[in-house]
Amino acid sequence: MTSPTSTGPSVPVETELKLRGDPEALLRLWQTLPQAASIAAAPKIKDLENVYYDTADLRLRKRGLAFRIRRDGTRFIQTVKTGDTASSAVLSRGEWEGEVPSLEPQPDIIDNPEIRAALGLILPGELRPVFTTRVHREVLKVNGTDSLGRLKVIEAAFDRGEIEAAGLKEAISEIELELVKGPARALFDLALTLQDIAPTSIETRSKSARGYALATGRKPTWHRAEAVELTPEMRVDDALAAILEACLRHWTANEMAALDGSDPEGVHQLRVGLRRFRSALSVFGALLPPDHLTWLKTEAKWAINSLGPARDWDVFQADLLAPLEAYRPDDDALAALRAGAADKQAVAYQQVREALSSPRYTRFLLRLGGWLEDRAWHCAELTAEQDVALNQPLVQLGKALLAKRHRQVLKRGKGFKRLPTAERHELRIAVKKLRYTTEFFRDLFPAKRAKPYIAALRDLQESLGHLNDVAVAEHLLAELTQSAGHSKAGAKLHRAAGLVAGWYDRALLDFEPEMQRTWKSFAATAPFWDASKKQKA
Amino acid sequence: MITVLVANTKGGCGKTTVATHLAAAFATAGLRAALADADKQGSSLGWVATRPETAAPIQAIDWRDGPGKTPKQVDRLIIDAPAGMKMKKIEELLRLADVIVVPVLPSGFDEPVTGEFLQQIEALKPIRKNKTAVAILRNRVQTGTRMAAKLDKFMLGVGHTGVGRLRHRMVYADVAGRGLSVFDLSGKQNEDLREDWAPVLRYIENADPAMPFSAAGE
Repeated sequence: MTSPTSTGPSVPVETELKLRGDPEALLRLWQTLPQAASIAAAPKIKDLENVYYDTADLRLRKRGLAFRIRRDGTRFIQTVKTGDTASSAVLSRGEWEGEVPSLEPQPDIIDNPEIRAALGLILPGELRPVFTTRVHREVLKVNGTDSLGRLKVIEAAFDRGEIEAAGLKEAISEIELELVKGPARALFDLALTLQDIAPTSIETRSKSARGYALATGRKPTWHRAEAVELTPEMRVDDALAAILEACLRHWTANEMAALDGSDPEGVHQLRVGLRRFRSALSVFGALLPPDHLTWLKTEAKWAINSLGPARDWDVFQADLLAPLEAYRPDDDALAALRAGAADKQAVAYQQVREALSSPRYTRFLLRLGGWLEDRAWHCAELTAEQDVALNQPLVQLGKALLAKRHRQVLKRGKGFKRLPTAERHELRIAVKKLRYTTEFFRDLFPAKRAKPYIAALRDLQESLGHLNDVAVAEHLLAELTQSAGHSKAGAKLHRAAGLVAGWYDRALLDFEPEMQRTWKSFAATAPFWDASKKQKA
Repeated sequence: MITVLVANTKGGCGKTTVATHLAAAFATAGLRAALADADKQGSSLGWVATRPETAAPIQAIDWRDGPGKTPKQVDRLIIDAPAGMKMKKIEELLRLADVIVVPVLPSGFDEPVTGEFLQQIEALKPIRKNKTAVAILRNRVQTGTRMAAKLDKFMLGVGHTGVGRLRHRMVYADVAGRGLSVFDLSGKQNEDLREDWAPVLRYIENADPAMPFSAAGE
């Protein structure tokens, strides 16, 4: 996108959206595209070979960079891309490009100080090939206007080929939509139109990320949520957009790890992202048009529910079953139960893969991406009150919501000692909602004051969590024994289920003093959002 | 930015040689390098002052009266620490550093002092918490000698394997007075000497706090 002669300190950024899918579906899609997007010109065709370079200790990769030389006919183009850090639906990356005489890397000719600094020190001869991509590329230019009449120019490329690293090969088949001109929304709109022709998924990985994975043999890793920086003066509208975008980035960054499934943390982190998204909706929901809120809630709930069983069976095996196994080693009934759980887990992970590859999921991401880009909640259905509320400083809304959720917890927990289990469950849910609300707004208040409150709340939530352990265990045990029958093997399962259920019921009794203690201590902790209260006390 | 502290309580171990060479290595590679002199003698400052205009630029920073502001728009900051300094002072500088490079000479006098110094810095918080990496650089090594072998043994004894060794060559004394380094000179011989610096340079590069990926895969 740029040449080495470009001036100015800023590095150009490219915005693109990539779709992957079954090669035949992609081909069908590509062939229908000219008609769907009313393009007259024939595609430009190129055969490209890219060699990616790095140091032996892969420092460039560690820095989130990709260094490659592209063979384009008789020319060689050296490119450095920055910012391949977290995966997200729309990739925005800085780039430097210049011509070199051969496949010999020339880091010294890079004259952009930012890119130079990003590369760090490279010793003479230190860069060596890590992997190669070979791609047959067809390019079409999509001109037009989007749904709001704004001009858009998108370059669509269909890449077919392979990645080769350390003697291993992997197929490439993806359609890349790059924004040349116009709002980013246009990319999502075009991708949605294409969904009607053939189902695809969003490709969150760059070709270089895939190449490194192939070269190093590493499984996709999971990612934590990044911090969202909120300030008290910030408008509610900006905070809402920032929080939802961060949630979306967090969960999509964990898609590959969840699909891979070898580390339970993948599905877990994906669910955490979705759960935070849902709690943000419950915090800010009243400020959104009802139709929009319903759509978001429905789709997020569907997605998180598709992942629920996989997470439950992970937890069942790792957390619930393990303590009993340690206490009763070599118990064959428990072994049978674990085997049954492993089968259920395999089925649940199949469900995860199906959901994440489904057209419904892709449509959700595409619509959500466009909606966030455009802040599309500012529409005709938005009421004047909502508009005013969205324009107020975040801290005002934060205080009101925290106070409301805090009151609800105190109300539900009244007479905690004698509260029956069902009502304690309701308290647990109120506590969970309060916890999310504090997580969103804690940075708006002095950390010193928020800390003790959040610590007390966390302790309470953790001790009430035992209630949920029992409920989840009972539910999963019922599922495991449902079809067990009265055979010898079935009897084994029933016996093991009895052991587990008894263990956790008993544990609940043991935890009773702790639950009472954490409740008492929370109820006695002063809220942190109201400075005036502290002064009076 | 990566901040490198070059320090050892034992004087005359080549601290300034190492600090000036690291700065020159980064500068000649096209990075924005700065050299902060915290040593009262100001040898590093003097070296930058005599550096020819044709050589890759290095920004000099006077920290003889204690650390000041860290400069902006610098990719690599090298700090030349004072010799024989108090631990309080070193802790102050260490808090700024991502890597500490400790030059060691193959001499019977150096070993006990260096060993004590290493023990002291290991008790400091940034190193205890693994926030600051420690690199031991063997200096003025005459390969194949008994002293060199003894130094290797000593380093294993104090629990460090070291990050390379610098061979003893007259050229280091020669370039010191001219504001230059082996990184500024041409010729096969100097190219050969630059190889000695590769392990410590790689070590520093891997200590970059701005690396978004901890492992190579993702």
